[in-house]
Amino acid sequence: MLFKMAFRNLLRNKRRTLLTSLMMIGGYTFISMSLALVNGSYGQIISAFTEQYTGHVQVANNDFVENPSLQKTIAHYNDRINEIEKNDLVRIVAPRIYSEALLYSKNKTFGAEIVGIDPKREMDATHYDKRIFEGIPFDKDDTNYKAIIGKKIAKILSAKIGEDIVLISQGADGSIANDIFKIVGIIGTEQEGKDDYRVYLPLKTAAEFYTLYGRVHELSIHLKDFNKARNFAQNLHFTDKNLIARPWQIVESDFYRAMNADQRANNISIFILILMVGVGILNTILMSTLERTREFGVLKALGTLPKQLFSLILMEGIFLSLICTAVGLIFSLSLNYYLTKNGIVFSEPIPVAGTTISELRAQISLDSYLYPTLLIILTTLLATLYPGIKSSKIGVSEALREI
Amino acid sequence: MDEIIFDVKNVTKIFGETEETKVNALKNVKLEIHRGEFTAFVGPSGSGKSTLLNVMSGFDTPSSGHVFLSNKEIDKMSGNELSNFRRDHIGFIFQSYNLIPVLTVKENVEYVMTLQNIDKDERDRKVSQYLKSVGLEGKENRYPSQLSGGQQQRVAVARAMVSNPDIVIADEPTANLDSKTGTDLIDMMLELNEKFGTTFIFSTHDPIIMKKAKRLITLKDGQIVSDETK
Repeated sequence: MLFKMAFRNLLRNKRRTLLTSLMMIGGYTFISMSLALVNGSYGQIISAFTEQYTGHVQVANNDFVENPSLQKTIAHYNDRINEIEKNDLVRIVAPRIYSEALLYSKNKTFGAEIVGIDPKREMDATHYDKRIFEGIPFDKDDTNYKAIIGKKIAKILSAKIGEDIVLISQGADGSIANDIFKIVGIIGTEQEGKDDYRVYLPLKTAAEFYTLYGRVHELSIHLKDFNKARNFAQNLHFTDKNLIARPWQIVESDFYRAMNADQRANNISIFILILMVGVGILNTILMSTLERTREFGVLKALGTLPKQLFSLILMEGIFLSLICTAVGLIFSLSLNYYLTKNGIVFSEPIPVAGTTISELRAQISLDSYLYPTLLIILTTLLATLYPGIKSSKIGVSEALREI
Repeated sequence: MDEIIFDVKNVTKIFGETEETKVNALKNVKLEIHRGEFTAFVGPSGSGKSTLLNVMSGFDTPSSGHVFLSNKEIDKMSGNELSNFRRDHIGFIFQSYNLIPVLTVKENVEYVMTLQNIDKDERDRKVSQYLKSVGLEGKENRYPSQLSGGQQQRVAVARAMVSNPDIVIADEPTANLDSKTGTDLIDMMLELNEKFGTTFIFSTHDPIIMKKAKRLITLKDGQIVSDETK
């Protein structure tokens, strides 16, 4: 009977129930859509960032990141790559050499970061060729003295494609390294990024230049799913105890912290929305219970126990939240499906963390539905507690005196 | 008729906490109600009729004194004990009917029986019997808003009586009814009193009830000033 009463009570003031339902359904759909878009956009940004530069896991000498040195290398790197690529989670591994050099061109000099890359692997891993806005990428097995320079360097040195550039540095054996390289490409995107002040060399050429035969400084591992980076890094062990695997969250800790801070800001927006929905529900339930004070007095006079009265009010809240959650689920499933297929296309690409995104696509995950469901139901329960307790404790004679 | 069903012993009820606001609504009231009586409390407004009914129903606790219903001291009961006791021993009829608007006539009448966990067949049988007794057969599925005031009060009577309470307490049951409907209602309650032996206590200003009551207790300034059995 209480079940029946709770359900019918919701239909007593149809307009009020409809308005509250609209608020709850709207709240559910908005939270679900926000989470799906946040998951989608974070996925896009992380994917773009890690796949353009860092990779998902990096293997290097254990303090190479903190104190880089030409001598802190990974020996027999091809064996390591073969070993790592046996794992099904791995898409590709890209070896890299890192150092610095003084560049000289047309009586101008500039200190730049030198990155030796395996042209074929780097193309598969980071698609560096797509960031070359002038010139061409290296040949797949390039061993020539070619260089792709960052766009800022090109500007500073007034260097152009086909011109020569001199690199002066020190080899790993202590010798002076200096040679002439032909500029074959200028790299960089419209936004500022790591490429701007870098010079890329073919790996074998860089190894020869720095006398690092068979050795590299870093293995950049690209996984099929970036979400598995932490676990993968934790489980990756080497016989050479000087080597360590770090997930992108540690390697790019500033970027990771920025993403987390953004996520926290987003959580605050969702919390404010939940608070608004909660206050709306509290208002509805409170209004609906206050205007029924006399009726509660009658129910108590007839022998209804306080806990039964409390259950009645709680049931009303639960019914309302379940119905709204079901409707909200249908709406958000449709909306999120549309946003995964079509996304929100920006009129201009937006720069984010050194990369750009031109559209926002939702990513459907269980979280996008589980959290709003739990939040709406829990918020309703919380909002129902006060009116429920208040009504169940009311004295019969006091309630019957209510008009 | 000799069994004492209600025993009110030296009950005093004081409202208000300060000397200025203090109202002595009942003053040392002593009263015994016997099973099967058809009793009316009469008196001017503020005489203490409703307060006495509230104390006897367990809606209010006395400031001093004791109230026994079927030898159970109700003023000492906890909230849940009192709810259960009211459910099983007292039926209520209110001045403004107080039916549950979201329940049909049938559901209103069977409400107390569902609280008592009486099975459905038994509930259906008794609802049918009492709705027939109050002349509302065929209106089981109507909602209170679809009934007249007199019909609503008849539903309230059926609701109050259907669970076979020891006593039915009615607070001015005819106050919102026209005289014809009021008379019909009182006649019906008298008939039920005689048919089922249910004890009725009224508070009233209604001369019809005063006329038809078998015992008339007059209150004034919180005290019983006369107790007349016809």
